[in-house]
Amino acid sequence: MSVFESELKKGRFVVGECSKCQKVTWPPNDFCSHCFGSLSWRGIKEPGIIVECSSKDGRTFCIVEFENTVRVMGTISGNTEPKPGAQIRVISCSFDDSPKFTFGPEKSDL
Amino acid sequence: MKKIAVASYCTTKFSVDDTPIESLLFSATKLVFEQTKNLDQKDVDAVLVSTNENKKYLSSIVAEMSGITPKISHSVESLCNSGTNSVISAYSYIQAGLADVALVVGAERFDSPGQVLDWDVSRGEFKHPIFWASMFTRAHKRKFGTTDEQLAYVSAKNHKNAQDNPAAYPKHHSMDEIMHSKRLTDDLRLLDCSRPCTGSSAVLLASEDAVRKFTDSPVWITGIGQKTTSASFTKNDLVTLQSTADAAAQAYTMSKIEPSQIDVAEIHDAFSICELMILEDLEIVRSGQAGKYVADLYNTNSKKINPRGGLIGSGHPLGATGVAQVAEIACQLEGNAKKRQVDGAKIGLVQNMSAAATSSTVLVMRS
Repeated sequence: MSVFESELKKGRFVVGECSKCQKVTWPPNDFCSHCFGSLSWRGIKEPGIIVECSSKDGRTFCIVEFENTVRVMGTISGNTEPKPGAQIRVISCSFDDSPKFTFGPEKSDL
Repeated sequence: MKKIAVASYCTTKFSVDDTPIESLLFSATKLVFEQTKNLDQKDVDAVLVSTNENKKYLSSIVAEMSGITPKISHSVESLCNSGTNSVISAYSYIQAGLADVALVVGAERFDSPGQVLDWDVSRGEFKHPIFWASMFTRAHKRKFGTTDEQLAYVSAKNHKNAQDNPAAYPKHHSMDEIMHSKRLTDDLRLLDCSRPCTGSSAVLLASEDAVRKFTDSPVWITGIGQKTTSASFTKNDLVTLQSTADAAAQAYTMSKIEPSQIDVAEIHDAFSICELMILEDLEIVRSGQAGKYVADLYNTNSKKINPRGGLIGSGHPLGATGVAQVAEIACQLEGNAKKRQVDGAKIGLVQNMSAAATSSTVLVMRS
């Protein structure tokens, strides 16, 4: 299991940042995809921005972008009206065969 | 550069039958030999197999069972554009002088393991292609005002065209059925989707020196473009298929044509939204205009785009799809497409792509 997966299993969304070029590698990798440097793992910087969304059986799914780099799909909790460009946070995350992310609104929007 | 042509081609009937992958490959290979004049097993320098099936050494198995002892023999896997990747590999062997005649055989089963890219963690739990297709659709609607009715025209046109394709999976759907088909997501109906199926297709490529032995009407591959932007869906711009745009630009330059010169095209309508985006990224129409363009094609019975029915109308046996697209354009440019024929077609195009267009292939072909 990779660092990304094992941290996700503990409820932590981490990404690898290169110790050489300081860029974030996404999707997760064993080395920096930009310069092949080694990665150190840290928590994702929030908030994220909703890129696009749709829904299935009343459950909204979306692409959210973090740090202008990391784009990931997850669900949006509650009755949040999802709008591209809106700021959003990670409410929960886990890993079970695949990553699972639930996003929710910024506290100020609650 | 050598001139390289499609000398012969065939496509078996698509179905949802539980047929072994080997049988599918053998049947397409047998058909090519039966349909190609003067073709002897000794002529074939390369045998390439296109499939996502998790089986080993298939090209050598096909070669042995067909009595071929080729110099070059291997499989090619690149999800849904395995077929055109195989054709380009065959082209390259001939261009490099390592082969004069190359046989490409593509096949897939309805239960192919290539339908979902598990590797892509950026999709989170939303691995199935219906989710990326929904994202593309919503983004296109949002930016260009594309309607559900315009999307339904893609599917209706391709189902209508497939009625004249004897190899198509035999399932016709009307505009009304498509509009009222089951909602899979808010932005995708069941009949916006192509259907995974069982089928095979083959093409024989030959150098200019070799091709006249097999045909009096070779169809030349004059432009090739390929681009891979990533493997992760979420890196896509959601209203542009950048890999298709890049591949098209390469193919147009190599073939010295403008998009307006294309007479007929087979494009990768895995979902109805894909056909609209591809038409725009091939610059056959301006951005945001594809919905209206496809409705006009439907209402005028034009077969210019996806005359065999594309993936939605014919079915989508992944490894065979790109090969079947090349076979259809060769057939069109030979003038042998019967009821599907686009009159006077001289320049044709194939666009084939994988995993939400994270990679694309574009071929230009000429009679």
